[in-house]
This record gives sequence, C-alpha cells and structure tokens, in this order.
Amino acid sequence: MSFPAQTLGRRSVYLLPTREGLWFGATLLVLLLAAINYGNGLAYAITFLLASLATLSSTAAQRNLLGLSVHEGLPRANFVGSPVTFRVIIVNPSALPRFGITITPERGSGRTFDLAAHEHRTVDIPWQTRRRGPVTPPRVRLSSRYPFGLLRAFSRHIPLEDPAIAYPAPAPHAPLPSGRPSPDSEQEALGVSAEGGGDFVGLSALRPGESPRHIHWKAVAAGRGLMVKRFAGLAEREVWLTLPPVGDIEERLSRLCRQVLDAEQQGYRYGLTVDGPPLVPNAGPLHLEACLSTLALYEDTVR
Amino acid sequence: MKTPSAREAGPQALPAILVALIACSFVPLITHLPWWTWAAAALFVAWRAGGLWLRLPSRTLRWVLVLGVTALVYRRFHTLLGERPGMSLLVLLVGLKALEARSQRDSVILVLLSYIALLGSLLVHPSLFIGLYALAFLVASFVTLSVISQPVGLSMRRRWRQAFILLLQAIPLALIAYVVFPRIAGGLWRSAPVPIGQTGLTAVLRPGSLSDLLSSRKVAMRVIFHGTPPPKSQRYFRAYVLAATNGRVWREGPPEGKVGRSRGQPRRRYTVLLNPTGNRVLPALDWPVDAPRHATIMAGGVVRAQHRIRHILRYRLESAPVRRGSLAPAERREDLALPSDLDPRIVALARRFASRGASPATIVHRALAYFVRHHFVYTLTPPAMGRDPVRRFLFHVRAGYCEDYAAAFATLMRAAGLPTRVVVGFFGGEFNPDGGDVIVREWDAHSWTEVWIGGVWRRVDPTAVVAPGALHEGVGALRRLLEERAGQSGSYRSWWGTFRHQLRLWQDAATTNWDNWVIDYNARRQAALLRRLGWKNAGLASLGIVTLTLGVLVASLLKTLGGRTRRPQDPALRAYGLYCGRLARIGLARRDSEGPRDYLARAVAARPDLDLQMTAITAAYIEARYAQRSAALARLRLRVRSFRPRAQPPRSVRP
Repeated sequence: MSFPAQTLGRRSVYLLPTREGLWFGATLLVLLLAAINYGNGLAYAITFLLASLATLSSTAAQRNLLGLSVHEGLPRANFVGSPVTFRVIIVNPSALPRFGITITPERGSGRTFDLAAHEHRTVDIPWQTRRRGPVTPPRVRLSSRYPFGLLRAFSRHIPLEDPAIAYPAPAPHAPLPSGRPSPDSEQEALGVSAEGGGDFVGLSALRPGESPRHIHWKAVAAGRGLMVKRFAGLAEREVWLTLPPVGDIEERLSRLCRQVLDAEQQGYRYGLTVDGPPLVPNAGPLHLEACLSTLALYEDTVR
Repeated sequence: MKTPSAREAGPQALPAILVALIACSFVPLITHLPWWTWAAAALFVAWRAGGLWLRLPSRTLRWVLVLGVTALVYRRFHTLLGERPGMSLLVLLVGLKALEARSQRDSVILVLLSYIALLGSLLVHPSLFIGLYALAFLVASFVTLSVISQPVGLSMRRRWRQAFILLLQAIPLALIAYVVFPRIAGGLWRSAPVPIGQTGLTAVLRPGSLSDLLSSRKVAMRVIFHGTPPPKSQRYFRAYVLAATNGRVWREGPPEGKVGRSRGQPRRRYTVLLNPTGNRVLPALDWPVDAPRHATIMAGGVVRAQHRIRHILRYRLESAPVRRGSLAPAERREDLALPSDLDPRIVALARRFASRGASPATIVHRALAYFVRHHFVYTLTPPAMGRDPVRRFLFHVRAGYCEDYAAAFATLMRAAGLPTRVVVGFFGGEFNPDGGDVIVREWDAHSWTEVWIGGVWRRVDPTAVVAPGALHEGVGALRRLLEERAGQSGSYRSWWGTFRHQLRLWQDAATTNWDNWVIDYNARRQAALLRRLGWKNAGLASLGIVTLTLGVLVASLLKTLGGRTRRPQDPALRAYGLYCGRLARIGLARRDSEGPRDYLARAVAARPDLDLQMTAITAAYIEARYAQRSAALARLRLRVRSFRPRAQPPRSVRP
C-alpha cells in the first residue's frame, strides 16, 4: 500500500557546486590569471579544458537523479518521545546504475546508498515526536555528488503524504478498573477465552481481530480452516476503559494508554469509551492499535 | 558499501591513483628544482603511506615541518617569491598536505594543488609534448576525483572511460573558449619566467664559439616567406656585426654610426617566429627596410628589440639586398683597426694582395684565391688555434670552421686597407615542405664578413668559397657524419635515415603549428583569426561579452539537454509501430483509441486480402508484448519485415 510514486523529472533536479567545486573554481581562476599574465596559450588551453570538463560533468550529475521515483510506504506509529518511522522506497526504473544517492529529510542526517539497474531500496526515516496526535511527514530530498564531487545534484523537496501517529506516552502506572464477566453469552456458556493462561478446552473458528498467536496451525494444515485454541479462562474478563473525569487531559490520556496496554498484555477483553462511538470490547493487536489511535487523535475530536 | 566509521576515525590510506597523480604533476619539473625538495616531498608521502602502521606526526610537529621547509627554501633562494622558490615551496607543501590529509576534502585539495604544479611545468616548457602530457594528466585527475568522491561501486575501467568521453566532449567547448576568450597583451603584472638553459649566438666571436653550436638541433627560429623563399645560398640572417678585435676575439664596435637606407631588388617579405633567447637580438635577412614594432635598426643594420625576448616572438620584416650610406671617418678607422702586435707575415700577405694598385674587388678575389690555392680545408672540428689564431690558421693549420675563415679574412682585408667587419648570424636553414617555412636551427649559426666596396657593404663569405659543397648541400651530410661519430648508428642514405629525416620534418611542422596556435596565440593573432572567420573589429569588451554569453548559453543548454535520457523502447512495440506505419501508408492509420484487436478488426474489414498476415502479426505482437515471449518477438519481426501491403488489393480477391 503506497501512494502514487513521485518521479524526478528534469524540472525538479537542481545543480549547485559543492564546496570542493568552489575550490576547484578558485583554482581555475588562479590558472586563468597565470595564463593571462604569462600570455601562455597552453595554460589557457588547460584552464578552458578543466572548466569544460567540470561543466560537462553536470550532465552525468543530473542524470544520476533523473527518473528515480520515490514511493511511500506505510509509516510506523510510536509513543510520544520515541521516533515514529516513515518509510520511503526509492526505485531506479532504468538500466542506468545510480551512485551515491543520498536521501535527506528536512531535519536530521541523510542516508547514502547506490542503486543498481532496476533496483529499489527501502529507507526508514526515524522522526522524533513531541506531541501526541498525527505527525506531519517530513519532506525529503534526494541528492548526489556523483560523478566527481564538484557538483551536487539535488531534487526539489518531495513531500511525503501519509502522516504517522504518535500515541500518548503511557503513564508509568495506572491500575485497571475491576473487570466483570463477559456479557457475551456464547463466551459465557463456553467459558473459554482466546487468551492463554488456562486449560485447553477446544477449538473454535477464528474471529476477526483475534490474535494469531493461538491459531491451531495443525488444523490449518489439515485443511480445517483457521481454528483457534480456546482455553478455560481465569483471565476471561472484560473491562471498559474510560477517561477519568478530572485532571489534565494529557495526563488522563497517558493513564488510559497505560491501562489499554496493560489490559492487552494481561489478556483482558477491553472496550474503550472516550467520545464518539465506543470501541466494543475485544483484544488483539488490531484492536490495540485502534484504541491507541483513538487516544492519539482524541483532542482533535473534542475541539 | 561505505564505511562511515573509517571516514570519521583516523586517516585512511590515500588512494594510490592520487599519489601517482601528484608524482606525475611534478615529473616535468624535476630538473628545475633542487633535489632535496623531491627527497623531502617523497619522504612525507612515504611517511603518510606507511602511516597505517607508523605513527603520524602530531599537529605541532606538522607546523614545525611547515616552518622548517619554508626556512629551507628561503635559505636556498633568499626569497619565497618567483618561479623556482614558489614551485619548490609548492612541492614541499603538497608533501606535507599529503602527510596530514584525512578527509575527502583534503584529497580534493591535493588534486587542485597538482593542477598548480602542472601549471608550473607548462610555464617552464610549453612544448607540444607537455601539451599532450597535460591532456592525459587532466583525464587522470578526473579519474582521481571520481575515486575520491565515489570510492566504491565503479570499476576503474568505467571511470577511465567516463573521464575520457568527458574529455572528448570538452575539447570542442574548450576550443571555442580558447579562440574567443579575449587576450590581454602584456600580461597583468609583467613578469615572465626566464627561459632556462638558453644557448645560441653570442656577441663575441672567438675560435670555437660557433662550432660549439654544431651539435644543437634546437630550433632558433622559423621563417615564413611571403612569396617565394630565396634560395638557400642567399639566406643570410644577420644578428651581430663585430668590428672590434684584439687579434683573437671579435666584439661589437661602438654603437655610433649612420644607419643608412636599404635599397635594391628583390625585396623579401617574411615573418619570423623567434624562440626566446633572453637577449634583444632579432635576426634579419640581409638589410631590413623598417624595424618591427618595439624594435629599432642599429648602426650595423641589425635589429634590436626594446626588451629581452622571453617568449616566442613573432615579427614581420621586409629586407633589401643592399644598404646605401656613407662611412664616417670614425667608422672607417674602426673598421680598419688591427691589433698592434699583428704578425708581420699577415701584413706582408695582405700587401701582396693589394699590390700594383689593385681594386677592392681584385683584393677580395686574390684573398679568396689564396684560400683555394693553398688547399684550405673546411672542418667541423678545427684544432686548437693557440694565442695567435689568425697566423696559425693562415700559415700552419689551414683548416677551420667558418669563424676561423671569417676572422682571418677580415684581418687580411683590413691589413690590405679595406674596411671590413665580421657578421654573425644564421645561414641557410632547412625548408620544410609540410610547414611551408624555413627552420633555422642553432647548428645553422654562421659567420661571414662584409667588405666596404663601392659605397656599400658587400657580403663576402670565405667559407662558401672554400667549401661550397659543404655549406650549400653537404652541411646536413657533414652533420650526420658528426652525429655518427657521436655514436649514432645508421647511414644517412639508408631508408631508415630518410624515414627519420621525414619524421623530423613532420615533427617540425607540428611544432610550427603548435607555436603558431598555442604559444604565440596573442591578441593580434586572435584578431587576425577572427577577421578571417568574418568577425571584424573584435574588441576586448565584445569578446568578453561573447565569451560570457557562450558560457551562460552552454550552461543553460546543459541544464535542459543534459538530463535527456533515451527511453528504451520495447522492441515489440517498435516492430508493431513499423507495421502500423505501413498500414497508415495505405490509408489504414491506427486511431489513438484503438487497441491492437480493434485495429485488426477494422483493417481486416477494409482489406480482407491481408487478413492472414495482419492476424498473425497482431497475435505475435500481443504475445511478445504482454507475454514477453522472445520466440514471438522473433516471429513478429520476421512477419513485419515481409509485410509490404499494396495500396490496391489484387483484383481477384476484391469482392
């Protein structure tokens, strides 16, 4: 799942001399002054040749970036304070190998790599977060100093479009509210849980959102479809997590975040009501992510 | 992949090609700089190369070394400015820079310093060979830059190829810049390197002074005659007129005297390309009519430039065969002066020539006849002449080189009462059919005499009388004999000799063109060339503007054209395109909206006679294009090649 590729055309590649290139230019000036002063035709010739060589190397410099396309992968969320990750895939669609391509986000250091013909490379860009909520992706820039290090070809800023999400930082400690038996009649009757910890009682069909941890792979191999091992649960409990009514909103969200994480870890089925439609009790990574995202985006919906 | 840790921590090994490049940039200078600059620079580089296991000098020690080498250079030259001290310092500092180089940037700076060193060699000897050397050097330097900026990923072969192709592209561009870039006459701060190791004519003639030049092939000047060149026997280029003698040595007389005017026919017009001599002499054929710019005609009819000649100099002259004027009494005394201790036998001999009221012409004739009658010999290696060279030459040795003949003859004529002087210059030269010019080498140095007869100075060349063959045709042969004696093998008549001679002529032609278009391409030559190309009045400002415009134009063109990459087309598509084109020619063009199948259906409806072929081609195309089958591609190509639809279907099939 990626956004449409952005391909570097001629108008989006620029050239500027590097610092070495400027030194090179200064040397040329010295050569030219000497040629003029001594009226030395050979010195003139060498000066002009050097200048032409450096100028013409710009075509190779430009071509090194042209036609590269930048695809965007799915960004990885993280908690506030830890870096989220944006994923960029750089594709060389041509038969021309590319050398010394550097990808640099707006802030932070770049990464340099070569691309063989028709090769592509995935680059993860860590991005520090300070605030909870959606993280605007950085703009990235491709550049290279190929072939002689005298010129630097660089692309325009390429905006990434898919924002990452910074979850609220979990509070260090937040006790879970007391659970109550699941209202789910079927579950109650069976007295089983999808989570581990109890005695194995049998198999049931996998429900969407359930952890794949307990899939009975032998049953899958036997062609009976995706079955889940059920265990008689000490842990078969259900909690509803809600925003505490008073306190600093960020602090409350942090506590809630901790509760969500603990509930998931301890094998609860948990539901979440903050605002809007409640998330019905469930468990598993997808449910966890949904809950954390709701917390991350909470402020936006209130204001 | 790159290892960032190696780049940051500690110095890495210098790329081998960089070390080689630095060495190459200094090789042409080796003989011009003190040996210890090399030794020290090599030591520093070796220290650096061994630095991976040897401890590299600390920062303080490096500064001490910098001060140390500067002091050494100062002690040797007593200055830090100027070519040789500057280049010595450059060599040492490059060595030190190599010692401390640790980053990519330092390596690039080393490359840039090597360009400056190359410039030094270009200034010292701007020859064709150095030009080719510099060209190769530039390619190597770009390979080095490539290695520095992209240490891995590319093969060396690929780098060399890239740099070489770049050079081929750069040459036309540089050529345009070379032609149109405005040349500033006179330079910026008016100092030019003094050519090193000049030999050549001197203003003093003593036994052996010219025969020393015999072994020098070095080109003294090139003469391009406008119109037919005079025959070799008439090509006397005068450089010095020597009037004062002490019996052994001839020197220039006092500078007074009338200049006179050149007269007579035929006039010769010619251009001289004079190699730098370090003195002010401009050799000229016979009697120049007018002095070239920044030069004057002196009393003896010889031309002197205002400044010492440090670059190749080009000057145009017109010469006449005689010069009219009068001989002032003081000059006459000067041209008759003889040392007081002149041998009486010489005086007696001269009296015999002048006896019975002989005319000046008769005196000259008798003297020359004396040489012939007594079997005087022309030799390239005359024996030592001792303290009284003229007496010894005339009465004992009777063999000598041109300087001996000229000195003896002038002494005899003076003793006989004819004002006479010795002239030193060049004789003959070799006509080069490839360059169209006459090449005058140092071994063409010659001396002869001029005798005042009938109100003009008449040229009398006693050597030509004694050894006409040697001087006019056989000089080359004599020289080859000399070369053979010097240990070079091969007879000059052999095909090898001929071939070598031809090679030398080609080489000389190339050198002439080189001198014309590289060494001597100055403001005047530039204007002349541009005028010939149809651009009149190209001034400094307009040339500058044109250069700038061209530069901007090239830069912008590169920006727009440079990135154009050829899109590799699918071979199946190309073949199918050919097929569509052929159908279009018979009025069945494919519409933009039509896929291959729709197109086929419409084409078959219009031309059922082509059904079979078209169906096969379309099927092969679809298979080749979308199923990527190479067999289908081959089939498609074959079918398309033989698909030649006629505009009208054959009658029998027409419904």
